[in-house]
Amino acid sequence: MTQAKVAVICPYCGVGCGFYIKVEEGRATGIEYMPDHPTSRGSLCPKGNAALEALNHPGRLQHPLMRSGDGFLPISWEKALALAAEGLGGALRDYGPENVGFLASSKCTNEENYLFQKLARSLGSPNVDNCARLCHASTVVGLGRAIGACATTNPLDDLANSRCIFVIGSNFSENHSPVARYVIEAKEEGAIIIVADPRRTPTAWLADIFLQIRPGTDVALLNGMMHVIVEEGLVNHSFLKERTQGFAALAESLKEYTAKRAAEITCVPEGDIIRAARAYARSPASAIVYSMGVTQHVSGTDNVQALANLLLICGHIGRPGTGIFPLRGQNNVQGACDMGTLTEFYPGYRRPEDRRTTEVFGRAWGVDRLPNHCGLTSLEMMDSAREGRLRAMYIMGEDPINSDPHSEKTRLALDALDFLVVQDIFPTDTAQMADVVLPASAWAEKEGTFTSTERRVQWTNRAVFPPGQAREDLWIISEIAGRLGLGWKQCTAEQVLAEIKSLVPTYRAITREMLAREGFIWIHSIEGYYPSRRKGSPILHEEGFPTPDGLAIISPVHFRPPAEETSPEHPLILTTGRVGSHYNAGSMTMRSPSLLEIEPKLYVELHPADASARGIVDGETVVVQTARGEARAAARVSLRVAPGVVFLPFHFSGCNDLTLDVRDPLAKIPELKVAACQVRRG
Amino acid sequence: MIEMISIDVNLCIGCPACIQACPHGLIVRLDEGASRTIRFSRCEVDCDICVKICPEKALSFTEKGGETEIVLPLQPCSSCGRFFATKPMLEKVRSCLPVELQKDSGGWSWLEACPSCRRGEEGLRAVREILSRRS
Amino acid sequence: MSVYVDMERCIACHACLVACKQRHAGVSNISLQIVEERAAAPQLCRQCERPACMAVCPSQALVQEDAVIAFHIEKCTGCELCLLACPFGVVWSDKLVHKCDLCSGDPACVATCPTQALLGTFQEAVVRIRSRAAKTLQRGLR
Repeated sequence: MTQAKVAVICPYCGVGCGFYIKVEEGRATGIEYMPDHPTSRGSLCPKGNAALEALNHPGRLQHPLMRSGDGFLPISWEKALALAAEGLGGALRDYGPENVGFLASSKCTNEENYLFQKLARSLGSPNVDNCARLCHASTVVGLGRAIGACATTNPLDDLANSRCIFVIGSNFSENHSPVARYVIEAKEEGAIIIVADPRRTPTAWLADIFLQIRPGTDVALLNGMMHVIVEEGLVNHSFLKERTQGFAALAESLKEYTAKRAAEITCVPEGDIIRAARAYARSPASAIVYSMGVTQHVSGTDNVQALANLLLICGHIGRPGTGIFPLRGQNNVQGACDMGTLTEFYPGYRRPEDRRTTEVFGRAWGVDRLPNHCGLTSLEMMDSAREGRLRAMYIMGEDPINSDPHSEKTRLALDALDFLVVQDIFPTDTAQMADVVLPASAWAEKEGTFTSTERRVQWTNRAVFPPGQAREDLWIISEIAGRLGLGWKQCTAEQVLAEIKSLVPTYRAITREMLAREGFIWIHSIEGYYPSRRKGSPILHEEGFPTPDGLAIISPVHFRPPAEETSPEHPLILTTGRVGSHYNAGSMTMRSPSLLEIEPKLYVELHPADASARGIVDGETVVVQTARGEARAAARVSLRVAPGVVFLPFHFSGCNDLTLDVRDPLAKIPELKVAACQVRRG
Repeated sequence: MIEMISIDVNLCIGCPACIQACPHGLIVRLDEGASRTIRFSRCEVDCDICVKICPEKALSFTEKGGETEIVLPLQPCSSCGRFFATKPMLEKVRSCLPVELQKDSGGWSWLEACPSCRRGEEGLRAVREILSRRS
Repeated sequence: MSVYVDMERCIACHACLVACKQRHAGVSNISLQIVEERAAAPQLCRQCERPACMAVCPSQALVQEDAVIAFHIEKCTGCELCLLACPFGVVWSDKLVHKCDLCSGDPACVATCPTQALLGTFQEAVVRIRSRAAKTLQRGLR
């Protein structure tokens, strides 16, 4: 056929909007909106609107490449796959699977991610991870521990039913734009919107109560709010009694966090903390929306536990209009985690240490000795490479040089490897360091499922074929598996999905029909426990929590200051984040002219007081410096930030030269949100 | 006979029509300080595009001369100060507009703001009420 | 009839801008202005009933066609008088003059807006404003 309209799911963020691609003569020529999509209702943010600019970009990788001196030579697939197998196989043989690392892609489909971790583990390596480590690892650990599941608890449109929405560390207006619609609908029905953020973002514009919090002080704020709630008798005692454990210890720990003390630590006025606490506790249905502002800290896991404590003492979970919404970043980071591309989980969040896990998967995969322990997380793989232990890596659809903190460390790590194979669609900075580069397929060139942040599994269709000699990731992974002695057959996405369904309980009930209609929102189920009096309800935790005894775990957390404090040399707090027109490390958006026109280059937001103290005028080039290095940026004098705080969007090269690689001890997530810096005229 | 352009200085308002229309780049605009200079060079081919397109019918042909130019005053924006149009262009606009478009007591002073500042002004006006309610 | 803007709902995401560019060969007929870091105003041609741009055009390139002030590029002289005539500054020129053409009846910006801040018909705009006013009254606010 020469003309068609193909339904796809957007490759950018975790909202999972649908749209159609117009295909003419095998080429993607335009976009059409999908008004009946259940979450986006036909809307698309600027990135979705410009998606074809990246898809059709002439800079797409079209040939397999082999390193030759400082550059690359195009080679055949036969040769490239042979080299990849040799490089990985050699390292497996000489140094053992513990010293080979696999970095999966939360942009790739569930089927691709599933096969990727199957490859790694079948080869004996426990070192498989994905970029969730950089964004919601705190959620995976913290929320998983507290309520047994680490995903949004209610569908996104349920936010419209809330009477109070507490947004903390999320700028959904720019980065998950369709969510704003539901928040606004709630607001127009009278809901109170509370936004806690160091910056006055377009999300904060919607706030009835804006808490301009000092970066890294979330636990103090939350404990302060909970102190008020306990003291004023606003806790939900029946909920606490029936469904939680641990309240007594929490109540004791909260005594020192008076609203006054919280105000001192957070720089938020005491009165606002009290108002926010009362609003959240008193409303009949309150929801919490959060994102990187909470997770990307050395206290990330504690921050998430504090949020869980807050909602548990008020009982705001398991009903319409309530719940907690960790807004996931990537289009398929939820799915990549569900598929076990995390070192501490097999598919379906099964623990490697549990004997049943290795038995079940061993039987299914025909492999005798699957890894039965946790391996290295993504940043630990880099540490290990730098220390000369990890010798080879297979990186799929990730650009750690630009995504990881403290870029210099990442470069040293990848440089130290004996062998690096990178599979991607663009020649990213990470691909430039590879020994072999494998040209892969973009989202519109493959079929399979993506799982959005509201746990909605959706099928995306193939609209066009990959350019040049680029191939589908499923094919590439299977070919490499074959050459490494795993005896896999090539299979379709549908066949892989069938295998996933047989092994991942939450995906068991998926059918193609429902995927073709409005997708499928998975519900957590563990052997012996199936939630929901309303069968098939997409709201989690209505009757119990998937924890060992069905109770949620409240546990006290204490405020610890951020890892790097300001000093006379670096007197300003640097915080990083996203802008709506770009996406993550920018491999796609920096190649989209429409988006570059909106934000063409790195800028630094600073308060007028800080600017004038340094003689800096809006627009001039300045140097931002931390203990790790320097970056040049355009000064943007703005009232979005408070005095003493500056903001850099991390999509641009240079930002992560400055950030700090100190990690949360449990989640291993780096503190990307706080560093100490100085800004001077360039 | 390849001709030279002659400008009627009483009619030319200094708009970009001929500059953008000339297929051979022979008409050049130079904005310096508070003045716009439009310079015409002798045509290289037989063509009458600029003569036809001029909205004021200010251009005609002559045999004499190799180069000619006209200098016009530029209007600075009453808000940002940027020189954004010639004064004759703005006068032409004013003379074409119905009297209802005089904005309140400001009369025609809105014409002296550049389009960008007009947007700014309008945007501010549009969200004023919203701003007063937002913290 | 033009595209109606409900600035209460605008979150400055720029989707309208990019959607417009995709429909109009890389140029946008809508501009987004952020005011005091606390609100945003998308601005585009209002399809005026007494259009200033049409009044000054020397070559009848701007014509009233039903609800739209249509722009016929083949008649444009490039004089840019229309830019100067527009009191709202929503006629642009990047060599070629351009302004909102309502996308021939199905405005991309309206379809794409994630918060439905842009409305395509007068009816929808009225319903939005009236229901918001009613809810506000109901809650006893000003």
